[in-house]
Amino acid sequence: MSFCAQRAYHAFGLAEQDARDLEDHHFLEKWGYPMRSENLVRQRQPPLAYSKRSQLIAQLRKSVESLPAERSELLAPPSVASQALAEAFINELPHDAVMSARMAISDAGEINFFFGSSNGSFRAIFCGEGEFSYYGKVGANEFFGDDLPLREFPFLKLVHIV
Amino acid sequence: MAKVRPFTEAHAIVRVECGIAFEAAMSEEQIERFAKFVEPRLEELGFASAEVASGNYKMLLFSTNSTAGADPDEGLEAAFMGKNVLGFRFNEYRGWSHVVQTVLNRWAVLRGFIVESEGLKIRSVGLEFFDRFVTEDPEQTYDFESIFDASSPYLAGVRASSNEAQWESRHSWFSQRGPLQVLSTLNIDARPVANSADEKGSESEADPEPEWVVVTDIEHRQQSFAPDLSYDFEAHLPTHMEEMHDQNLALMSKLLNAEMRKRVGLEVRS
Repeated sequence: MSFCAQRAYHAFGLAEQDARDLEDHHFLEKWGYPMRSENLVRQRQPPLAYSKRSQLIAQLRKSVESLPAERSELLAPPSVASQALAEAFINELPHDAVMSARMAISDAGEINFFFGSSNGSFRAIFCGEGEFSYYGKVGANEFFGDDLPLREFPFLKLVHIV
Repeated sequence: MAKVRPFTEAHAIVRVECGIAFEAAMSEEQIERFAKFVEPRLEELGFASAEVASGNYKMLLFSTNSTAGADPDEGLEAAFMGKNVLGFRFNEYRGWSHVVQTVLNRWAVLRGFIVESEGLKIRSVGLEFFDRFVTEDPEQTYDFESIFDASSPYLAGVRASSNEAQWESRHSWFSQRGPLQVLSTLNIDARPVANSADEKGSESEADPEPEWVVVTDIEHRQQSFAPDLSYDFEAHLPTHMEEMHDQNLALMSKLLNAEMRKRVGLEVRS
């Protein structure tokens, strides 16, 4: 019986057979998941799309941090809810869209994302207490939504543009 | 002076794995039938392929077709079914809610075979976070405290040698969490790694990357199981995932120093 299984046996008074079962099931020894490549073991930095996604999140955090915490006549930081939703948006973006995303925060605390190409353009806006809106144009077709849950954003249409 | 950075600019996570273990192992014949069950559902699962592979035992390996920034063999996300374990691997961390939703969505499809057809019951669940910090250390001034909180109780045994660029720490402990018994494992490894030619990058001639970097890995794994075999794990899967995630956050908060906690997003606005 392995050390881990012994610990389970002694610490919780498991029946010895239960402890052996756990060991047999390989769950106490990781979960038997095969490593298919050594690449991940040696990786020192994330691949391109992963890197870009994390850069956007870091840029968002730094931008918010650089603003005064209190609202003034001239400047207002984004709300905590808007920032959290904007981070979730970045995480949900398909890879192609991540690579072409641009972000800016307005004086009023709106978090804006822009995507554009010769195929069309999209803008996503997070404002207030986590209100989400978007506007997109592909050729003559327009797409828009106001005060929506994030899952209703047309990520696939965005991919077609970028 | 050594420069330390988390694996990404927003956090240090290299990969996340979630494992579900069943009360009995799948036979080779069941794995073959599972592959047939999965084949017409690959798109729904968000995988490009699922292949039966044979090593020490027969297993089904799922992978995505997108290799945009991930392991070239697995893609961004992968899964595995072998013996009694179903594992989900995320080679890119896209937020906790993405992990939870993806695991639950995939489980909702796969349970059609595992639970409904084969009658296998969940016996335990697990979660593993693998974090990495990279120290560019041309002058060999690796500083343990540039990453860690020196007063962390989890590092009590390693302080004496921790400013050498190669050390390791192993801890495992049991705890009771509601009806579950949880085995937590914390492995920390620091070691020098040579820059291979294709990884050095050439963005700036004036600021070339050093020949050697020190990689510090933190692997935190939790495995929860219920002594009561009648416990309905499946009904509480989302709750247990949240609990394990909260425990990972709590542990990382105790391990990292204040600056690093901020850099990896552990200190959020309130």
